[in-house]
Amino acid sequence: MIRPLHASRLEQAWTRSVFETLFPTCAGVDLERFLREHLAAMPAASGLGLRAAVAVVTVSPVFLLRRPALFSHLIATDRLRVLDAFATSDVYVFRSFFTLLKAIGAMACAADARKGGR
Amino acid sequence: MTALPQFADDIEALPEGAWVDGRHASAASTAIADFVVIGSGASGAVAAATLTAAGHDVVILEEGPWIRTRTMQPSLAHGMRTLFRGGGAQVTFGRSNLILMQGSNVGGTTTVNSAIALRASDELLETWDRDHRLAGTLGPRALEPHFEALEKALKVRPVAAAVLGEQNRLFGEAARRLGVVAEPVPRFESGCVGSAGCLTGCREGKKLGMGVTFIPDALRAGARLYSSARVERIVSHEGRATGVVARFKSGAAPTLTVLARKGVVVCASAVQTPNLLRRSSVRSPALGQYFQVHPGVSIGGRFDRPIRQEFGATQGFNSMHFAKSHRFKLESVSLQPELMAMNIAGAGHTLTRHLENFDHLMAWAVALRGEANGSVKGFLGGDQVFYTPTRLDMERIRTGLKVLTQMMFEVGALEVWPGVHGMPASLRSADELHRWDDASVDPRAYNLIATHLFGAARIGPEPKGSVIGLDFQAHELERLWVLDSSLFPSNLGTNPQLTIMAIARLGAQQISSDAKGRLR
Repeated sequence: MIRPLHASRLEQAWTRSVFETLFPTCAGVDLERFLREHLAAMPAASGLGLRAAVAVVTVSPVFLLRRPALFSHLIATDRLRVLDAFATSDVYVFRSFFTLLKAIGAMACAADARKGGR
Repeated sequence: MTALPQFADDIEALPEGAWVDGRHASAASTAIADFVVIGSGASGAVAAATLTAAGHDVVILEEGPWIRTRTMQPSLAHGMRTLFRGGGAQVTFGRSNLILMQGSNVGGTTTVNSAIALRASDELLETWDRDHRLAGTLGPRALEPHFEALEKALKVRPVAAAVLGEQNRLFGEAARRLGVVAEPVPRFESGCVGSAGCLTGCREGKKLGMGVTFIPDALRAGARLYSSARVERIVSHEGRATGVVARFKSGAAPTLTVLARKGVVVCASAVQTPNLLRRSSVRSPALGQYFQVHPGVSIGGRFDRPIRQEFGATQGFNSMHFAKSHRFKLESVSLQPELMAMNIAGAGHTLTRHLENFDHLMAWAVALRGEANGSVKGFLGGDQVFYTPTRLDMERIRTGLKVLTQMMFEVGALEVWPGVHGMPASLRSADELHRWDDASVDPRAYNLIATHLFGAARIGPEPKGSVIGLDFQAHELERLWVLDSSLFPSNLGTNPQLTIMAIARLGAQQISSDAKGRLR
């Protein structure tokens, strides 16, 4: 079975900025390990979809905010504006990117979001 | 002093040498048996236990690992990675992507589902018989003794009031107030403590999935199990299946060759079985066609009082009230925060504020007996499903979500999150129910999930239109039997595992009887 390649350090950093925006509780999570383990388990199409979603969100401020900056360089409120644009987009593939990032991000970061953890 | 075994899947409780963990295999190996059973889920475990009990020498091959009760963890991420196929991240292709949930471990999906044990209705079985000319093979009379035996063996009973939990109790209460017929779910369990953790495997060992029941039973009776061993192809000689070639999922990935004196029984699921047959040179035009699912979707709500989803049966109440008129089933469900997050709109602090008040959140779901037919193909090196719900399917799902919204407000929801593109992010009262009437019926507007999978190697009397004959044997290859839900002529409208088990038990008894007579 085809497996996606390991995420590079740059991709890991981009993913962290997206996940921490979705779930501010994500700061202490060992995301490198999480991504390594999950990309190894995911089907090729889903793994590549996740990496594509991270890449597209990362460069999207250029188009969405008309600003020559990567997502990870934005302030928190602008990051949320970008993610909201994906979440509510009329283009299915962009909404799917948001859903995929939120689903995988939730697995990494949402378990302890409730008061006192689980 | 050695502690006594506590769980049926403890190493100490199994015969020595009965289980080979393929994750540690370093060299190629060969085995010989009467039957090779491929898969250890609802069908494979029952088939293997039935054949072993009848005196046959059986080897069971399972692609996933054996995550035994003692090593299960509450983390959803860990559970998805170790117990589900593709880390729980499989999707279908089509107009929209449905999340395709399949267990991949010893015990299969029975390890990770809610243990719901419902029979296929007599009416449906009679329709199968009539429309697909099954000559009574899967008729109500043929299956009745198997349903009875399995319900007894697996201690099937409705959820006890003590472990109902508030999210299940409220479902029953809302249904009663609105005149919707609903009942506690019958499940296979022995002393459920209501830990709401079915999805990541029952750490209490109370859910009677295949990994703690029929698989250990089969091993104690002489069967051998190879886990983490993926079957690459079925080997045949002069039109007869004679064994399989598998590959261990270890670093060295050595091969495992199993010679089957009497034949090969495929129980690999409605997605994996068709492609395995295709890789094994079965060329039926019907192979991979007529694939059906129960598409489902959940809806979230927020309450002014604690619901505490982490206590109670994972799924404790359901309603078949709309099964005939609208083909959907409504059910309560306990979600972990990681999954509940998907029912809450937005991101950032708004999202985490809701999750901080997780105790006050609740989710219910609708599962549809979809009319759409999909297909299963080998694609991108994996098993790929192509599936798009019909417009009528989506209209019915929309109706189901409207009913659930009304039910949630009936028992005091402060707000309900529809989770549908184009709908408001939040509905604040039953006065807004009309919003559902204008909701999109495009499947791309919904976060759909498919957990029950059927067809793609259908049973039938002739090779035209079917893959498997009425003796459960492939039309094109003798001594290759299929006993999983891929042979179902259609979806069921109810949770399928009990019906899968009953058909596997029926089929295995028939195969055993043939093996002692006709087969040499």
